[in-house]
Parts: sequence; structure tokens; C-alpha cells
Amino acid sequence: MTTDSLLTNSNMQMAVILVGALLVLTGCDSGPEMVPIHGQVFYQDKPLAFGAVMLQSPRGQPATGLIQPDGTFVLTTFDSEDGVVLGKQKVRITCYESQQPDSQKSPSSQRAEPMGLGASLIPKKYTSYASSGFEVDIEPGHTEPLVFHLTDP
Amino acid sequence: MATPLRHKQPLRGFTLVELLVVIAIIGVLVALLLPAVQAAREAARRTQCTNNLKQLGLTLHNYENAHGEFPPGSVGGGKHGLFTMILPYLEESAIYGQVDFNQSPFDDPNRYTLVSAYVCPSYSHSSVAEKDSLPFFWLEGAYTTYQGVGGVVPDLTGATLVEPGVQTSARGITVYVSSAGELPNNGFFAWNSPRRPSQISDGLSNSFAIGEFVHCNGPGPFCDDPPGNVRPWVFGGTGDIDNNPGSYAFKVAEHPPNSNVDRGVGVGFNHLPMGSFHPGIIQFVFADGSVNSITDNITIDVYQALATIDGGEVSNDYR
Repeated sequence: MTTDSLLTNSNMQMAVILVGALLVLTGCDSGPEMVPIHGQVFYQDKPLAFGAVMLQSPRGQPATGLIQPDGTFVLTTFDSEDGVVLGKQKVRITCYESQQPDSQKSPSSQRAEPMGLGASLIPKKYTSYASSGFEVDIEPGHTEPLVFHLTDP
Repeated sequence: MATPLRHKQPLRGFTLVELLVVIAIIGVLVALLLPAVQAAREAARRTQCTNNLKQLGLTLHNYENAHGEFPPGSVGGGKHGLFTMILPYLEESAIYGQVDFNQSPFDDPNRYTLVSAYVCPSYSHSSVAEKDSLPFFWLEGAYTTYQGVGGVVPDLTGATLVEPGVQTSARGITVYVSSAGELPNNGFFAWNSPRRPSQISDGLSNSFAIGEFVHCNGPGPFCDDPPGNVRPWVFGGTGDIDNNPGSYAFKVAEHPPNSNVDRGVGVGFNHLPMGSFHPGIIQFVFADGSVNSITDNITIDVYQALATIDGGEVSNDYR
């Protein structure tokens, strides 16, 4: 017995309409508009080998991206590499000793928790939104990579 | 002997298809009902969580009535923090009586004693970790899923060094430098600086006192490595003013609530974001004892204005 003989033509149409309506309804909950963003960070004209870039929009969650060995990063806000919400964003860039990929601490018997991030390997002002001096404006359809050049004061 | 006449016609029963249809309909109904039931259960847990915060707010004021000032956040490395100080005013004098303040909280006999007002019922992980049950000594104990709010780090451009580890920002705010994240002196709680109500010049109803904190490393709030950065209530702090102070009792509001950031992206322990398991919101008790919900999507400027006590902002538009 085939599907065609099971469902008459009008039944088929009704089913298609119902499924379509369901898809449309689920599509309503799609969240804010996002733009995929990638970029690169240079310090003293050389690519920064590790660390992170964070963008803070005026509302809600920040976007973060880990810096790869070639200095590049891809930003994530909610899901993996989904990008950044639209609007003006403040930027902070971090590069602490503890973020070094091979600095995995072995489980120790020490009693005090090692809480610190270690020394900052870039000037401290870049690690704060207030003093980094970087601000970006993300508009719909933004495709340019974000390139940040860090210098010593 | 005659065989009794049996059903000449076949017995009328359910066909398999009919049975399957009935099961499918029941399944759909249950599927519709289940999220509603879960939401109702979460709403009940959230109400209880609100009540915990309300108790903490009243406790802070009872403490203030007795001492003339609110409790300090942490009084130093290896010392007890605000969650120990307020015990007598939370009707937990029995636990408070056993505390030996000459001893480190790590060795305190109450370390594994659960204080129910310190754990939000929505916290889905275990609220007590027994001795030697986890790989790290500092993770074990009875947790608190609340943290005090310790202000916001000011712009440190042009800050002056007062003494080793202590800076003053251009606008005159004292900041303790720490590798675990700077600790500013502009929140309801601060490192070893108890507040008097008169210091809260933004107004008691415009300043956070205590909020929810369930932070985990890695993506999303439901981490697979509990307790994440939730710590026993009995801890106060590590390090000291000149040696990277780290706070177990309050957090600095550098990032929006429930932010997906951790130490891997360079956010220090003192700056880890507040957060909750309630979908989309987080609850705070304000300095006046009122409990309010804050949306995760709050404007960061408003959030940080609420986290400071003397920033000169009056923010009523957070609801």
C-alpha cells in the first residue's frame, strides 16, 4: 500500500499546511541577529600566539574567541562560532601566562587553590574594556576581519 | 457430551492500529504536559530561592543593627568570610558557636555542614561534597550558591600606586591589585572594608548586596564538571592585600549575569560572572532587603551601576 492511496489529495494538502505552519512557528524564536566575525591580533607586529578576544555589546552576553597560534580568532556568543550581535562593542584582549596552551597544571596535593591568571604578557590596559582603546561597530553584513595591533605604551 | 457452542462470530477487540493510535495520543498529551509540570516545579524552586535571598537580606540588616555596619566580604586570606559572620543572625548560632576563628576555614569542623539558606534549590548538582570525594581539596565542603557583590573595577588609566598591591584610580577609588582579578572598594562588599549604610550613597534600593552564583568553566551553565567555581560557604579568601587576594565570598560585577566566560578567556576568579539555573534571569537581594529578578540581557551599564554603592547613578530601569 503506497502513501498516495492512504492519503487522499486533500488530506495530503492539509498535512503539508500543518507541517509548514509548525516550521514557521518554530522559526519565530530565532534570537537576535548575529554576524559571524573573525580576525587577528598582533603584538609588536608579530601575531599573538595565545590569549583571548572579548567583545561586550551594550546589552547581554559578551562574545569571546580564543587566539590561535597564528594570531587568528573566531568569535562565539551563544553557540560555537555564531558571531556577534549587532551594534557598538567594547573590546578587551587578554594574554595571561595561565592561558598558554601547554600550561596544564598537574593535580597537586597543595591545599591552597591556585587562583591567579599569572602575569599579563601584553600591556595591562588592553585587558580592560574601559582602557583598551578599541571599539568596533558591527553592522549587518559585516565581513571585514577585525585586526588589532597592540603596542607597548 | 456436546461441546458447548463457542463464539460463532470472532470476538470484537482492539486492532493493533487502534492501540497504537491511543498510545500516540496519550504520548502527545504527556509531551504537552511535561514541560508545563517542569516549569511549575522550577517556579516553586525559584520562589524558595527568592526566600533564601530575602532571609540573607534580613540577616544583613540584623547584623547591621548589632554591629553598626554591614559584614565585610572577606577579612583576609585563610580567614572566614561573610557567610560565617552572619550565621548568628540567620538563627544558625549552633554552627557559629563551633567556629574557631584562630583556625583556617579549610580546617573548620563546619566545613561539611550544610546551611540550607545558602543553597538555591534550583542548583541541580550536589550541595555537599564529602572529604576526599573530589580531586582537589579546595572543592570539598558544603557549598553556597550565593555570593556578595563587590563593585566594579574602575578605569585604571592614570591610577596611582599607594603601596604594594594597592592602587587608587583617577576618580579616587581604591583597588587591590590581584592576579585573580582586581578587587575594587566600591561595592556592597569589599576586601576587609565593612560598610555603614551612610556609605551607600546610590541608595540602599539601588545597590546589589548578594546574588546568585553557580559559575562553571566551559560552555553553558550546565557544566559536566561540578561544582565548577562554586565553593564551600565557610571559605573567606586566599592570598592577602599584598599577595593576590582571591575572594570566596563576593565577586566583582565585570561581566553580565550568566555570561559564557571563564578563566580560559582571561577572566580572573574574582571577576567570574554571577549566574543562576533559572532560565533567563538571576535574582539579587538589594541592600534594602528587597529581592529582584534581573534579566540576563540587562544593559551592562545599568548592571554595573547597580553593583556599585557610590557611583552617583540611580538606576530604576532594570525591570
